[in-house]
Amino acid sequence: MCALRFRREGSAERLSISLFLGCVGLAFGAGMARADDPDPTSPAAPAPPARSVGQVTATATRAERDLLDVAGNVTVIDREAIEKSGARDVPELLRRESGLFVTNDIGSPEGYRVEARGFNNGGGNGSALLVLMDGRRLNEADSSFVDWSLVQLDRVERIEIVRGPGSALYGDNAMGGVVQIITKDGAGQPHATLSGRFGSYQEATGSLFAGGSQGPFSGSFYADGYTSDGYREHSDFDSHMFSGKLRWTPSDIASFEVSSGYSADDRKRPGTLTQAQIDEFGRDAAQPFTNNFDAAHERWVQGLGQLILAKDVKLKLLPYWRSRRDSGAFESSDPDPFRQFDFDFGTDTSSWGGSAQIEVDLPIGGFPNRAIAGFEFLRDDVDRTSAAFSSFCTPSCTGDTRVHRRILSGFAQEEFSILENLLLAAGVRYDDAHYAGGSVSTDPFSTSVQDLARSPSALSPRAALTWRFLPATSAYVSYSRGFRFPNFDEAIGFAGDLFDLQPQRSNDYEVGLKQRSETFSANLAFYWMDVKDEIFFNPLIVDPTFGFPFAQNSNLERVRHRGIELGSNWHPLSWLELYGSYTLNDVRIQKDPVTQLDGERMPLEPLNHGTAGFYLFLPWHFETGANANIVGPRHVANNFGNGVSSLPTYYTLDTTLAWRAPLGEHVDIALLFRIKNLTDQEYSEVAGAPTFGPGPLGFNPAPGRNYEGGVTVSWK
Amino acid sequence: MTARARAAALFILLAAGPAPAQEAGALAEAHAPAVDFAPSGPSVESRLAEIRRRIQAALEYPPLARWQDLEGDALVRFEIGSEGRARGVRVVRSSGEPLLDAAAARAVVAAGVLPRVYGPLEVPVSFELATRR
Repeated sequence: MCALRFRREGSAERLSISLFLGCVGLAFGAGMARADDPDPTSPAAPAPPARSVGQVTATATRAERDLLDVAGNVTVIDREAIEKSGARDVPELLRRESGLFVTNDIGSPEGYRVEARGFNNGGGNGSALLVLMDGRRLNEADSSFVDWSLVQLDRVERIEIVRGPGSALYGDNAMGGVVQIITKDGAGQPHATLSGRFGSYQEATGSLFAGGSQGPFSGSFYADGYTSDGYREHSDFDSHMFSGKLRWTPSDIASFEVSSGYSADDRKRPGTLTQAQIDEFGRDAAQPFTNNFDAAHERWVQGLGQLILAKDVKLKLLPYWRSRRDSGAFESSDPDPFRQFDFDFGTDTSSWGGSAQIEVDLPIGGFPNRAIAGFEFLRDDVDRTSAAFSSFCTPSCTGDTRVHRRILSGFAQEEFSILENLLLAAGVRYDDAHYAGGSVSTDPFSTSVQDLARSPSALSPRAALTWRFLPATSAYVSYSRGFRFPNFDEAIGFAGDLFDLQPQRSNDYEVGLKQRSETFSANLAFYWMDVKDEIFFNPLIVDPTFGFPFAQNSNLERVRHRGIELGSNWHPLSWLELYGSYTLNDVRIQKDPVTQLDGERMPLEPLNHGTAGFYLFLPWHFETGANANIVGPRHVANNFGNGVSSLPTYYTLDTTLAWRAPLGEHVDIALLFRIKNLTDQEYSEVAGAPTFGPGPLGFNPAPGRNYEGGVTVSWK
Repeated sequence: MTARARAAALFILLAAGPAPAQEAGALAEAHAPAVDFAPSGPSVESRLAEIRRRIQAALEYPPLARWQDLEGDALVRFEIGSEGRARGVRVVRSSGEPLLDAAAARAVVAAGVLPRVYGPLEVPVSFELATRR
C-alpha cells in the first residue's frame, strides 16, 4: 500500500513522506505488488518484522474434576503455596492441614510420622495413611511407615491430600487417607533452581534441580545433600540423593516416562529420656548408655505410560521397582545387666509391581460420565538377619526372617452426573493377598515361624453423592470401606508367631461442605469411622508362654474414630492472606474383650489440634508470615489404661521473612529467614510408657527456639 | 523539466528529510509492513483475519495434553508459499510443553490454503483448560 504520512513535531509542522520502493515500482508499472515495503524477495532488503495474524486459542475441559465436585475432604498444596510457606520438608506443610496429625520424635527428617483421622496413636503399629510419589507407594513393606527423609520438598510440584478411606481406589493402607506427591517436571525451556539452607544444630542442606525439553524429549535431574547434628545429642542425620526423570512424547496420543533415583543416609537415634534424666542432663541429651543408629540405602525405578486408545479412552501403565537396605543397631550399656543388650540387624526389602488403568469419558444422556477400571500387582520381599547379645542370649541369639507377599487387586469406579449439579460416584476394589515365608530365631522371647501362609483379602466399596448447590459451594455425603493388611513387622513380629492377626477394616460415613472462590476457600467435614480389628502394639496382652503381659501386636475388636475437620484460606486483601485449620479426633475403644478397656481413648492422638497463620506481602518484594500450631492434651504411647498423666497442651510459633525478586529477565532470587518455636516452648510431641513392665515415662523432647536461613536462585 | 524528472526530484527531496529515529521506530511499529500479492481484492487486514480464522479452525487441544493438565502459550512463525500454504513453520517461543508446541505448529500447517500475504507472519497460540464439571 502506498502511503503519505504527515507528522507534527513541536510547533512546526513538518511533512514527512515515506514512499516505499514497491510503491515506486507500482507507479512505474514495474511490480505486481502494491506494497509500501521494499521488495521482500530482494536480497538487499532488510528482513521485515513478522506481522501477527492475531491470537488463536484452544480450550478444553480439564480431565480432572473440580475439587468442589469431588466427594471428600480434599486439598491441594501447589508449588506457589510450598514456596510461600518457607517449609523445609513435606511433613512441616502437612502439620497445617486439618485431619492430619504430625509428630516427630527425633527432630530429624526420619522422625516424622504423619497419620490421618486418629491413627497416629503410637505403640509401633503400622501406618493407615497411604503416601504415593508420582503414583508409586512410599509406604515400606516391612513397617508400612513412610520414610519422610526420602521426600525432598525442593523437588515437589504439588501435594494432594485426600482424607478418609481411599481403599476403593488405592487398596492397602489407605484407611485414614491418601497423600499424593507429584514431583517437578522438567518440560519447557532449560531451567534450573539452586537452593541452600543453613540453620541451628549445624544444619546445612543444598539442592539442585534442572530440566528442559528438546523436541519430543523432556527431562530433569535433581540432587541434594543434607547434614545436621540434630537438636539432641546423638541425633546426627546425613543424607544425599540423586534422581532423574526422562519423558518421551512421540505423538499427541502417547507419552512414556522413566524415572529413577538413589538415596543414602546415616541416622543416629537419641532414644527417650525420663523426667529425671531431663532434669539431670538437659532436654537435648541422649538417653545415657544408648547407641542406636541406622544406615539406609534406597534405589528405585519407575515408568509411566500414557496412551490415548480412542477418543476419550485412556490407558495408564505404571510399573515400578524399589530396593532398600537398612543396617543398624540398638545398643545399651546400662549398668543394670538386665538392661544391657546389643541388637544388630540388617534388612533388605524389595518391592516391585505395577498397575494398568483404563479411563473412559463417555457422556450418558448428555451428562458427563467417567468409568475407571484397572488392576494392580505388588510383590514385597523382606530378608532380615539379626544378632542379639544380652543376659537372655548367651552367647548370642540370632534371627533370620525371609518372607514375601503378593497382592493382586482389581478395581472399578464410576462417576456419573445424575443432574447438572448432582454427581454420583461409586466404586469397588478387591484385594487378594498371600503371605509366605518364615523366620528362625534363637531368641527365648521369639518363636520361629515355619511358614507364614496367610491369604487375607478385602472388598472395599465406596459410594458418594456431591451436590454443587451454588457455583462456588458444594456438599457431599459418602460411605466407604477401608482396610489395612498386617505389615511384615506385625505379621512376623519380634515377639513371635502372630498367625491370628487379622486385617484392619473400617466403615466410614462422612458429610462435608466445601467453598472455593478467588478469595476464600474452606472445607468442613464430619466423619464417623468404625474400625474392626484395629492392629495395635499392645503392652497389655498376656503372653501365653510367660503368663504375664508382654507387648505384641494384636487386633482391637472395635475402635471408633469420630471427628470434625475444618480448614480455610482467606485472601481479603491483595497484601494479606489468612489461613487456619481445626481438627477434632475422638478415638476410643468400643469393645475389646482381651484388654477390657472399653471406652478408653487411644494414646497420642489429641482430641483437639489446630493451626492459624498469615502472610503479609510487603513492598519491595518482601514477604513475612507467622504460623501457630497448637496441640491439646493426649495420652502417652502405650498408656492403654489411660491411667498415666497426659502430655500437656503445647503450642509453637514460627515466623518467616522472605525477599523474592527478579534479577534480570531470566533469574529470580529468594532469600529466606525463619525462626521456629519463637517463644522457646519446652514440650515433647511424643512420650511413652515402658513397653515391657512398669517404669517411668520416656519423653522425646522437641527442639527449642531455632533459626534457619536460605537462598534460592532460579534460572528460566 | 519533464513530469518524470519532477517526480524524481520530489522523491529525492522528500526522501532526504529523515524523520527522527524514534519516530521511525514508532512508525514501523504502528505500520508494520503490509505486503501484498494482489493489487486489488480484500485488504491485508481482512486476509490476516481469514488466516487467523483458518488456523483457529484447524487448532485442536492434544488429548494427551488435556489428560496431563498441560496449558501454555506458544508463538509460531511462518510464511505463505507461492501455492498458498504455510511454509517455514517453526515455534519461535515455546509453551514449555513439546506437546503443545507441536499442536500449535500442526494447526498452522493444517490450516490449508491461505490468502496470500508477503513476508513472515506470527500467530500466538494459547492452550487453556477449563474446569471440569
